Amino acid sequence: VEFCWDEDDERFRNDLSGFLDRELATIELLPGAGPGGSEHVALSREFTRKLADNNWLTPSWPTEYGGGGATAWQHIAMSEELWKRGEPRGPQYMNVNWIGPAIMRYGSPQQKTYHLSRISSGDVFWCQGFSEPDAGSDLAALRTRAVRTGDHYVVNGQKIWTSYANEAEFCFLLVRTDASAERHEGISILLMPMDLPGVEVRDIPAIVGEHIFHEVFLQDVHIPANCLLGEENKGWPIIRALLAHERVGAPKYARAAFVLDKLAVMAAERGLDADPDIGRRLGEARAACEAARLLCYVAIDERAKNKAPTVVAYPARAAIVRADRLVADVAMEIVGTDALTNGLVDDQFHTAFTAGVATGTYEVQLELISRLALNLPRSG
Amino acid sequence: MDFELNDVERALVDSVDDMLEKYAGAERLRSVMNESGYDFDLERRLEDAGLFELAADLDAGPVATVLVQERIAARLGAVSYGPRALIAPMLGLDLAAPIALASQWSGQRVRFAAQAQTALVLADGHAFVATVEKVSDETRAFGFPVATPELAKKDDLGPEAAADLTRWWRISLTADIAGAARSALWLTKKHLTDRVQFGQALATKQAIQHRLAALYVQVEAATWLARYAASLVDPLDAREAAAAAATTAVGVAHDAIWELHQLTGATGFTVEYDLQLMTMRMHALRLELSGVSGGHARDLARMRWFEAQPTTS
Repeated sequence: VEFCWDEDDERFRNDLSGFLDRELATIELLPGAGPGGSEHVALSREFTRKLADNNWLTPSWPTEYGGGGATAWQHIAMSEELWKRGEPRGPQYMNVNWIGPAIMRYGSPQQKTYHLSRISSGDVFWCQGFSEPDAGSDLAALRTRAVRTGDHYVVNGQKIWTSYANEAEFCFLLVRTDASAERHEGISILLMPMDLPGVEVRDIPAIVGEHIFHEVFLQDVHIPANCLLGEENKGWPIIRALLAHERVGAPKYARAAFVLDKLAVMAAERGLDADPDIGRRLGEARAACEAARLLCYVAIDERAKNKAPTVVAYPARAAIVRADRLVADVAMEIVGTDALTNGLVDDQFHTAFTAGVATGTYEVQLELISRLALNLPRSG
Repeated sequence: MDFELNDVERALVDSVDDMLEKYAGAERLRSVMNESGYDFDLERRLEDAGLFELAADLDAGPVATVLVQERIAARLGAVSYGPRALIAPMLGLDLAAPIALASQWSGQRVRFAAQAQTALVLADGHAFVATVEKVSDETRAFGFPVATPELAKKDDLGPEAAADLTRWWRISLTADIAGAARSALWLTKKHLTDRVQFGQALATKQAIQHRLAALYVQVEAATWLARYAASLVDPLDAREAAAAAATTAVGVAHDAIWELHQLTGATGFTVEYDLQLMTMRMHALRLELSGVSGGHARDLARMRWFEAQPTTS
């Protein structure tokens, strides 16, 4: 067991941190309008290009795809530094973390040529077309249908809760291409341009921010067959492999810990630094952030060693949810009714609200821990 | 970074497990509690194997010591391992064992007080070496003996040592709680898997599974936080990390005690059933250093944000 950062990894973090501090000097916190809001989107597009121009967008990609071959530890260091600052890449963190790598691994030469340079230059938004009205946690229940007709797939169906669909140029779309197959089979992946006729995006107003959620309606959308990623009907194993590490791909504990540091300053300004209850709650929240960080590192260690993912990502995800909620709770205790209007506190509340739902619910993590870590029997 | 045991640590843990298989466990603990209250035989075997010397060993160190302590706690070893193997060496002390830990000179319930040769005392912002003058009110009802000692001051180690003593005490009690909680969790899992009600094993119920899984997350967290806190060199970072570990451990103890007894039902309250050996230990451990009233968490907040210098409990 070794907890020290490698010298190269530490240098990598320090260099990146210096760059981010310089470039984001005037933007201490991102606007509170939510990641799909226009201010966020504009900032994200501008800033991600800047990252790309300075070789900070895809350092963890293989050198053959224009990356820097950075280690898994450097990748998490980069993610921590960016999440701490409110994830100014917006949805492009998904491009770097798993959409780009998916295309590298399963894409055709044409797909690689077309998409990877766009992603690595910070020029493109993607959304993920996964959830459907009747396929949420149970993703394999998806019903959006794609029928091969000549050199196209004709797609009909509906996706929901699709963040960034209003701005995205492409959708990483899961479709059912064989309706008669077992539910985990017959699923395919299409790299769908969002400007095709028949694609309609509708905003779903939400209490957690502007333009967070969308519905994507697909009506007789003709998607060129060369947009198929990997083999037809073999999409499910690809998704599982890609997303196995993504449960800890967004190190939100780094943001929660950053917010907590700010909250402690606010507590002191309000004369609450000697309040034993506030001290206790701050300490408990800090401990929860540290717990989440270390449990994520256990999962990163697997990735760094190129091991097949085991159960370790699930406790990490559950710990992130807990940390987010404890920080949100103490924030409200410190600022009282100002919580309703204070940008920092309100953001944290919204983050904590969605933390247990997005990218696999808290209950799904508990389910997987029950089955795979504790070996508890399935319900008869 | 490496979150797997290295060869030295793996060999160490395997050898400890082998030893504990023979010289620890619930049955042996009960037997020891009916006699001296301290497993001097296990202590001797740990000593012969060099397991009290790990902290200062360059190939092992404090993290390896914590790994051993987790195992001893999980197997209910009736020895005061942490104070002798981790705390005293990290304070540069060579003390007569067994060693007890106290945060008052008198009137406080202390683990292994009646068996201790020496006590480390945290009082008035200083750390002290003390001798146990006399003890009263010994009970064996908490998975180890607890008594009320009267302590006599021997050496004043000063305020800096107090901060270090607090750090290592927290790490040690976190390892003890994490080990006990892990065993209690698995014991409860077995009970719930075996116990059939309404025609089904209780463990098939999602409402029950999720409670066990949530506790599992916290046990993993406490385990890693203790190891991490033991690894740090910078004293300020280390003290903060130790407080984070102990904060988490107290939460684990709280959840494990309520949840695992609730899920085990009346059987769990019997002396005959092993669960109480683990949960009653956690119950006593969480009270140390004002943990149950938020002492670790408040100290963590003070150290991180509100004071230039760390305080001790």
